[in-house]
Amino acid sequence: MIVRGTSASVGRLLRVGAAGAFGLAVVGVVLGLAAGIDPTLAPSPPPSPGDWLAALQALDPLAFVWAAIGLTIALPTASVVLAAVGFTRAGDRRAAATAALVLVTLGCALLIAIVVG
Amino acid sequence: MALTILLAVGGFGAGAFGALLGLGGGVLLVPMLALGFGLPFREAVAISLLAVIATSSASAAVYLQRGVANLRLGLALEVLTVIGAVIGGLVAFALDERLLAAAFAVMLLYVALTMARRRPAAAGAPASADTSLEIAPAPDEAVVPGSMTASLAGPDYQVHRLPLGLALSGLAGVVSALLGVGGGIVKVPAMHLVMGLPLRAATATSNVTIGVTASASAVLYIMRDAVDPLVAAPVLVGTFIGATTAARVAPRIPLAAIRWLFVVVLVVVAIQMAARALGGGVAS
Repeated sequence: MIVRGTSASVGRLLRVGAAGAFGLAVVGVVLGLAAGIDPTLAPSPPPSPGDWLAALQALDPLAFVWAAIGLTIALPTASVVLAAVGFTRAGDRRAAATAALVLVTLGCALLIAIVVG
Repeated sequence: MALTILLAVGGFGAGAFGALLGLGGGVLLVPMLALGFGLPFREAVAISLLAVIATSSASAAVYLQRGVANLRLGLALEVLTVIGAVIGGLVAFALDERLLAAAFAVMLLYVALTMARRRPAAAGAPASADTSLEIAPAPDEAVVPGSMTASLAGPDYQVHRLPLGLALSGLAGVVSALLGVGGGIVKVPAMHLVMGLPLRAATATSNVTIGVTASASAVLYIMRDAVDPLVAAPVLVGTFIGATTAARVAPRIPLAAIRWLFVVVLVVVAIQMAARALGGGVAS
């Protein structure tokens, strides 16, 4: 069964986002293999935002991998935002409020973890 | 090259397994990375969290577009799961972890036994209905039209015992934070055995929400430089392929196979928790 509406929109966002993250990760892996980078090397921090575009243009494998990781992590939150917007547009206030509440609790959880941790 | 391929194959297995059962695959991936590849436990958990998000996104995309996952219910449960995770994180050091692990092991074994004793679907019954695997709703629990419970119904099922389901989702968050297991191991049985969702709908809905919980934790691991991108990349590639493939073939996999696989996972995690309670074992 194919559903329409907010669930389908969230599904589309996840499909496109997952495909994008997968593509970026594949490019990073291939470039890393071509450069002979050993996966057991010490962890590398992500490039600073200002250097990111230049690193991608220079075909730096780590820039692609970090872009894939960033996109992967952003996808669930983006899907909840889209759900909140979709439910609001559809006039489903209860579901929209629930989605908004998920975002608020997530934000609070992150804040508490940063402050306490 | 060989190591990269091995990591991708491991990611494929975890992604397929997680997408089928709504667990994310961390149960497989953390021991594999920590014991098989010798990664520090914290790095293994960090990469496992990324794989859980990848599994969630790739499989939820399929499940949502096919109408198997229940987005409204998933979001409602997720609110309590996140709150439970915060509470679990805050009280983690005030409770005896061994006692908790023992109690959780007993609970998992009970759930495994309950799921194992469910009778298979009657011959000729529609596979999507999966009615023989649902518990009967309480006789006095009529779903009031227009109520919160009614608004969370799926295409061919009603949601029952919403307050208890919400409470168990909160518990899923607490045990997730306290014991380092994914919330899906509590939420899937809660949705299936308590709230009356068909097993396929329960695992699909769990897949939609586990990525949301994992993303908050993953940010913290990145902020603490615990993610090794060179190991994470091939795992992510394999996970995306495994989860997408499993979500697409899931309707063709017999429900009994999914149920028994879930029972096996419950027993394995229960054994891990029991070992932890006795002072050893590997957390997942």
